[in-house]
Amino acid sequence: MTRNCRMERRTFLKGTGVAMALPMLDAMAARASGADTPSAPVRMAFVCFPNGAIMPKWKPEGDDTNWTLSPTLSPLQPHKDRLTIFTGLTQHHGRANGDGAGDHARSAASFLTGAQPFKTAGADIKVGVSIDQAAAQLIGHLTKFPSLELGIDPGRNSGNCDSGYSCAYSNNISWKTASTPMAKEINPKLAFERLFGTQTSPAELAARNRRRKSILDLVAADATQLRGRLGTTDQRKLDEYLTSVRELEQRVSRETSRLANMPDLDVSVGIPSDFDQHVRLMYDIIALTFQTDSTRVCTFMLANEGSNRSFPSIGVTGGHHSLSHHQNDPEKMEQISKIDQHHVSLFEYFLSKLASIEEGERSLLDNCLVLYGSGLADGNAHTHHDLPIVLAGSGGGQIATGRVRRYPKDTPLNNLYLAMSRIAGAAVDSLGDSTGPLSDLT
Amino acid sequence: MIGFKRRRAQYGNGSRRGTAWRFCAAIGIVIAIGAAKPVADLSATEQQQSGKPASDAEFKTHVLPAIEAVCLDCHGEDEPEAGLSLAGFRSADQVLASRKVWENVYKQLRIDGMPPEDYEPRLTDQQRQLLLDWLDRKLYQLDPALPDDPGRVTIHRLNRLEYNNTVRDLLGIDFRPADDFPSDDVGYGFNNIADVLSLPPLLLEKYVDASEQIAQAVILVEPMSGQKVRVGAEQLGGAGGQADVSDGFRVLTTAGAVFCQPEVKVAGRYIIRVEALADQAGPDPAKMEIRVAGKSVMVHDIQGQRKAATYEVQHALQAGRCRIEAAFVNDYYNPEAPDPAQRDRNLGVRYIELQGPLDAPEPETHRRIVFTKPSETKSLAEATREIFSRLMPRAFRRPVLAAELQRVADLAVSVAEQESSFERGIQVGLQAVLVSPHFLFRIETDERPDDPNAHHPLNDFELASRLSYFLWSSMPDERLFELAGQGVLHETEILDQQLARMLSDPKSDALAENFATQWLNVGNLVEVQPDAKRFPTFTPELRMDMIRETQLVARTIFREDRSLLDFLDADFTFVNRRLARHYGWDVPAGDGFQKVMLPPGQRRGVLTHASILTLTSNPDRTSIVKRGKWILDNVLGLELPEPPANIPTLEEGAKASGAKTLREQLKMHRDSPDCSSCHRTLDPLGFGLENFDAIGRWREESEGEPVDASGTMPGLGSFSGPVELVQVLKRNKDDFAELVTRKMLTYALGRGLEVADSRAVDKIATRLRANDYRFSALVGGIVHSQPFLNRRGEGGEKR
Repeated sequence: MTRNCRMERRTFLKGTGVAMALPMLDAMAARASGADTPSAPVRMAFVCFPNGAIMPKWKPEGDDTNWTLSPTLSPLQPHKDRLTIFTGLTQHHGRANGDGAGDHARSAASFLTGAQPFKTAGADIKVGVSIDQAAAQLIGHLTKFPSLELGIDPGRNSGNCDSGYSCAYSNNISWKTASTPMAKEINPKLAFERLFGTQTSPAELAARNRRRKSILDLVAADATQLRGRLGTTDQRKLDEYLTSVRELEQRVSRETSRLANMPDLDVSVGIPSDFDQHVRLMYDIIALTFQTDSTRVCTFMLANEGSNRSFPSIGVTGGHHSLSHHQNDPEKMEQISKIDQHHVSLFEYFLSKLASIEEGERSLLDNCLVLYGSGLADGNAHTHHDLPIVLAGSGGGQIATGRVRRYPKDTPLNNLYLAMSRIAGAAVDSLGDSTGPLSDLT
Repeated sequence: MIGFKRRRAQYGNGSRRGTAWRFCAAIGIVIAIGAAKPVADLSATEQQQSGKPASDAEFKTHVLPAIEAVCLDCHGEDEPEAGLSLAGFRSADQVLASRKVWENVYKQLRIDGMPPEDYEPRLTDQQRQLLLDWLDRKLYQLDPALPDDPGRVTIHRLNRLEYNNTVRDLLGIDFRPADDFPSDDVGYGFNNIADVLSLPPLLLEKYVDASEQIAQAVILVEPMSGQKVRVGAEQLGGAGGQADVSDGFRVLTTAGAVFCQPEVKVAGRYIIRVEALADQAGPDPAKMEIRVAGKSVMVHDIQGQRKAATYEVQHALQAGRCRIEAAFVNDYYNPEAPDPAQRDRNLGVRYIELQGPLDAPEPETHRRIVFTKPSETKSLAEATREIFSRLMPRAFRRPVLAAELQRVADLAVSVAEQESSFERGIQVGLQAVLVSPHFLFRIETDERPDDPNAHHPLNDFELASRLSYFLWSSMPDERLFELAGQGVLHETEILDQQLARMLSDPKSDALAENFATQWLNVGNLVEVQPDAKRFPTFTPELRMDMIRETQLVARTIFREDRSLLDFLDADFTFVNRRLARHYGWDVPAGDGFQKVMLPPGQRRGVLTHASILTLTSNPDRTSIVKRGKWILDNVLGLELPEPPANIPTLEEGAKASGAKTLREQLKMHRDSPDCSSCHRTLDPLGFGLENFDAIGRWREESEGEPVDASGTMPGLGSFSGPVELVQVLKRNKDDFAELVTRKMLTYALGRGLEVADSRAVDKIATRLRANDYRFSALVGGIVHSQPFLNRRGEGGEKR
């Protein structure tokens, strides 16, 4: 009997690499219209893990091009020549600086912003714009989505997250404005559908977008009128609303076509109960998103800061956060190292995926700058200097990789971000306590 | 009552009670020096001072000298310890200007944490009392001369649950789109805090998507088409004919039929639709007969070679179970045929679908919104306007302006004209309503929004929303709208009546499910992962049971208007079979949850619920500190000072000497002066619950030793075991009353509490205590309170 099913999402070879070439619609269109970019665009991703790492096992031996991977980073061996390992980089505003306890909240809040979060349980949440959003403001309009925020953990339901800081701080690393965190999508199925849509005919799509545009026009007018009658704080909330409406309007206006072939990825399970599977699916989605040039800026939180997840699959039954307060107990430190290495091996999955996608002469990985790290170094002592930071990819060959780069203590991590944004064609001039982009990466 | 001051995190109240001070002195005995000291009779001094604003003169007489003598050595100008300098303060106003510093001083003094145990000179009891008293009045007491300040709430976005409930109550569908929205961020312990709820682009997209799905679910564009029920190949029964499934089709290679037996709910005309294809052979096309209850209704010629198509017939059906068959009636098999493709005729059926009833009325949810249509006497524009003039005031929870109505109606009309469908226009108009800020936010307006002195009462519609979102986590109902429309909702008697009515409505279970579970942090249980090897009986189902147990107890306390102290020592709980087994009790008959009386001696109240016990444990063992902290936060309302910046590591010696019991390890907390001030408060509480393992089961032994669940709470007494612990905690019931008041007022207002709210908190807590701590007294107190009924413009004292 013949098969005559409609186009449905088929089960895909799980985790064996996206082996097809998908058309890069927007980028191709941009190039076809005469834009002067002969090579593939640079994409930036920021992947964050909680609770710091066992630093003696993280840091590499050697210098410059003459070095070996540390035990924790050893799973990255296949990509060693595409890596840059950093030491000495610091987020000064993750430190207390007079605000007392709350290093986890501060670590997440300052990781991509370089700003000191205002210590509050609710009113007047304030930190700073994060590097991904600052870059998205400059290049976001070139792609279907200005940026993508993904995560694994939902927000906490209630109670306190860290010592008098609202949970908003420990649950987010991407901040659109100093007071608006960019909510992260944790459901792979919904992330996929949002990015690649469900199959609709061009006529249906056009009709739907027409309706949406009218609705958005109407509610924007509503909101603008309302705004005039409100006090300052309320106006800021309405501004969040209006900004979001405008962004969606822009996207709806630009959306004229769908991908001819829907990417294959089995997301039918929704949110997997297995952590590894969940993480890999999200990495798959980021790879697909970059491959199709649906966005060039992405952040991914592997867990909320202070996460107490256990990892039975690698024999770690204690909680991550509890263990990270090891107080120099060698057994606990060993458990943390296992967790550290496990996260790194999942990251390696991501890098392999990116490396397997060809873009002209280079791989997608080459064309990326993927930052992997944490806002805490020593999870026991809650230090914010000499952070664990790895950069993968060469930004389209613009930086020299396969190196260890050691910086003097307290060099702002934000300087690296400025350099990255410059390479990605979205040069941000300053962020947090940055003093200027790192200049010696090329 | 415990010797500590009540929780001051959100700024305490202004009243004094003598007992508080006597117990502060009692701390002095039990903790600070260890040696017995006479209790200083401070009641005379205290009464003198209480109620008066903390003066500059008192600062210079009582505070400064003590600070200078005892504190400045370490906390002076040069390299002050922990970066906290108390030098250079000359006046009372300067203290207020450095509020954070002095709040820290207050917290330390309160638990007698400073100066450290081994330090000389020390504060005398009297000095300490005077310091505490003065700081309490300075930092936390409202100047009685100031007028009441109702505070204000930032424009308040509906959270996920409120969105789901509002959609349900507005439109009558129970379809929960907000379950896919990103989590609400939490502030002050709750997920309904206006300042913390933001609106990022991702969320707006979800709102737009959801509005589409909702509009399409509620309003049928082709209302006459009825419901569809489809039975696919896998589910079809086979009767003869070797009906195997291949490639999604049920294949009949010889004569036979496939069938289904759907339940027809309503008699009427239906479409029977079959998707089928055939292998053709021989002279005739394959034929498929549709039979209803055994009788032939139609014979279709199946066209094409393996070309799937749908074949329909309309038929009247009776209500009840109905057997529908698709039969292959002209099998053909000629193995001798020269052309191989002409040898075998087969029929394949992919599904049988029933659609109807065709002449059914539209579902109620549709008719509720679309109660009128264009006709000869009514234009499209008129019908549209009528529909939205009924819908929008309910959706926006207030009367709407003509211009607002017109905008939406115009949009709907233009879509209706473009797409030639009245219903489609209504759908799009409904979408616009659901995405409007007037729907998504609860809006309260001020005439002078930037003037903090412009206090004013809420209008009745704003009040209706506050009431309904507080008690029901949903929009107001018709009666509330009616009373608001009459302008009488705020009148005391009417408010009381409505309160009673709302509390007896099952929707008020929202308070148990949302307020209580958040207050008790029980929702966070979903994050906890007990070690599967050690605790194989902990399953996701058991986890949900645990949460449900606590919710049901909360619900009972609220529904039966019991004393809120029952949270501490209720002698009953709710279990289902799984949970009963978990606790080691007799298993109840039946499947659901049932109320059971607690067997004596082991458990009382929520502290002994598996939910909270598991929540406050590590994955592999219990956590004394977490359990102690939970009790401090949620029962005693005691905020500890900040932990030291670098928690010093345990001595190497301790580990070298081999395995020690938990109690011995934690004793080191108490031996180190840096640690003991907080841990002598935390640890005993945790020890009191040590009979419960990391998933809340009773145990007599831990780590090979019998469990020692004894402890002493300074100012409250000694206990051995959880039941005694609970009784000891109950002695603190006045502070507990204040704690619950603060928590529920925060939840009801959707903002953190400020110093200005202390008067209101006092009043409410007093009323609560005077009414046997009953739930309705608390809710009533809140609803009638100043901050609940009023608001003001912005500005004023910033945090």
